[in-house]
Amino acid sequence: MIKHHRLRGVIKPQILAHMSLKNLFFKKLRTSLTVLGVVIGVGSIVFLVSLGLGLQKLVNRQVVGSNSVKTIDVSSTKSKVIKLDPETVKSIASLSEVEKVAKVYNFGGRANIGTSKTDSIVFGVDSDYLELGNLKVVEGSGQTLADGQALVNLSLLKAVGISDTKSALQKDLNVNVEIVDDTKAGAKKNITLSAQIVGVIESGSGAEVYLDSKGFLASGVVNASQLKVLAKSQQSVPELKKQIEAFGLTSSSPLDTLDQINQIFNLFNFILVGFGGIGMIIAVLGMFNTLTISLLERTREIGLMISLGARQRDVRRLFIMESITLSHLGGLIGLIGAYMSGRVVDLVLNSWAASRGVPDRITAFDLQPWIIAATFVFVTIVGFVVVYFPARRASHINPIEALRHE
Amino acid sequence: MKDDVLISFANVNKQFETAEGPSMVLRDLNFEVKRGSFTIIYGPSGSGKSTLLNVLVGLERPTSGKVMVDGVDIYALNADERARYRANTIGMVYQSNYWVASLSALENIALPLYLTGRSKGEAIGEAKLSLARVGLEKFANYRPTLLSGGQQQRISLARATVVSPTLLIADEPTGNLDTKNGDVVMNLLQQFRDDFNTTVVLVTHNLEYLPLSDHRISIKDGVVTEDSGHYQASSATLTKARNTMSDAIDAKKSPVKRKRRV
Ligand SMILES: Nc1ncnc2c1ncn2[C@@H]1O[C@H](COP(=O)(O)OP(=O)(O)OP(=O)(O)O)[C@@H](O)[C@H]1O
Ligand SMILES: [Mg+2]
Repeated sequence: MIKHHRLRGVIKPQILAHMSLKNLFFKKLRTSLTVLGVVIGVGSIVFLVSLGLGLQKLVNRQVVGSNSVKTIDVSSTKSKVIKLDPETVKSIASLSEVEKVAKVYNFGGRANIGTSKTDSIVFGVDSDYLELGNLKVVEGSGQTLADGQALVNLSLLKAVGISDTKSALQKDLNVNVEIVDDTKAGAKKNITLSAQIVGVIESGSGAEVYLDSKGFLASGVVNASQLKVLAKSQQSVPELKKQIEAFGLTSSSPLDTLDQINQIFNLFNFILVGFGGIGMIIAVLGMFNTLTISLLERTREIGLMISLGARQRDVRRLFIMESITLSHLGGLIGLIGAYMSGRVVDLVLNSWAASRGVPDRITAFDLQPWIIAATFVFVTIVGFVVVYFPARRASHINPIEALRHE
Repeated sequence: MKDDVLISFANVNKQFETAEGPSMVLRDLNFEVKRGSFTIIYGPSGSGKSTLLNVLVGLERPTSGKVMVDGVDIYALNADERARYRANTIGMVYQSNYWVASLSALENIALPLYLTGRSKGEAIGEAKLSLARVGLEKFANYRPTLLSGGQQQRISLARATVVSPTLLIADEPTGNLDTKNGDVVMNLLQQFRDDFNTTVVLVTHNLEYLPLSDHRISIKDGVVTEDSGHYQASSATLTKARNTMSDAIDAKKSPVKRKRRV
């Protein structure tokens, strides 16, 4: 055995890599078609999933908007029987998971600025409501309303013919409201309130005026039309909703809509992955086919290598490297392709949105880092699984049979 | 075992299982081959010559018996060790030529060096020298399959000798060649033996080459029918044999001397 100490080492991995690349390059057409299959498979999954997730995010943000997901809108559908009276409000406010309860009173009325008049909904709100309602202020301020101050929305300004929102500030506003006098068994009563416009908000399609609720309360309004309940945490929202509904009240929260949207999108994403998955299965079969053909074609070549002193594992590694190269090349180009298609979709979507006057930039395509990582893990697994049988067969080639001349 | 003996077969039998039952292809082979000798094995078709060589290179385990090469019982090695034995100790030339299709002639020659762990640069450098020895430098970047049969066989020889093997084995290397090309190949084999003391074991049908050998083993139906034993051919015999072929030899015009690796 002593003499075998002079035996040299075994084939270097980089040489095996070099040989596998040479072989892939030697069969350019076959290699490109196989890689193309993986590109389409991976690309379509990544593209569709990223688009699905991006749209989901976009819609979720739209739904939640600036509204806090911790708020619950409470109203009564049977307002004749179950009223949002001070006792009920007090009971709700005393629930353990409730942080804050804001009250809003709303009635129909007519608003006039100067000589222009319009029908409008008139809200009487407290300071908590202004905080929780997250009104979208486009001009002036909307955080607090003192007595004699008012917020109006863009629709109202449009209705009275004011196009320059800035010029609306400081203007005097008179509203004639038909309120319900709860102190007199719900008798209807008209009151007139005047206020100065301090802010302009963007909300609703009909004209709206927001006033401090004190003016209503002073005229005999007791029961609130709606409550906004702020939960202590997002997790407690579903439980809190149940407790509120136990009063016979109706509740809704942005979270409900969010859940529904997410359910739809999860299904949507699932279907997209399914479509991409079919492409991927075809790609995997293509890889298997390529590697098997390569094995059959190269039986002699591998027999030669074994007779020259290649070990079984060297042959196996050669095939594994070819497979991994194919799958990774496909994965990489697939990712790049998906990313570029996503950018194109965003570009088209944005220019379309801009033409419709949407000012914000939309990102519908959301290629998240974990998707990139998952893609590489996935193509690595695919590379190893697909090559298993071809590599095994190759390493078991009998060189004597392979090299027996015809 | 005496130190000047490179190969020894002791009671080697090989039996194949065939559809018609067991077939005894090698029967109780006993012979020795000396280091640095030029041995020719000859015999009729089907007598078991190729099987004997396959046993010798470690690809066909004998049914019984012991094969010692360079002091090592090669069938006592495991498969990986036997692969390393092939890569390091043996150079092999076949009747037909086999290539890694995606590699150039030069890289095909470098293949045995790759298999012994050489880096690409190192292997290519040595492969160039080996290619020059057979006089085909200008075909380095050709695909081997595009070359003529004679050229391919010379490149096979360059590949078989690139690792400076202890043992060079050739199974009818001239079988597919015309006389001229056959002579070139035979001369190269001799040259390797002379320059590097490489032991050559050759199987041939062509009895004209017998005078080139210094050891002849005749085999028939798997049995050694004649073993000349190792003898030193008179230099007169060798010179005569060489002169008959000298016209065909162009490779010898640019001999590239290499140091034998230790
Ligand atoms: N794997 C095998 N299974 C069964 N029989 C085999 C096998 N390999 C060889 N043989 C048989 O062994 C015998 C010897 O074959 P071998 O190839 O060694 O002959 P050979 O002397 O090299 O002949 P040739 O000069 O024609 O090359 C033949 O009869 C052949 O059919
Ligand atoms: Mg034979």
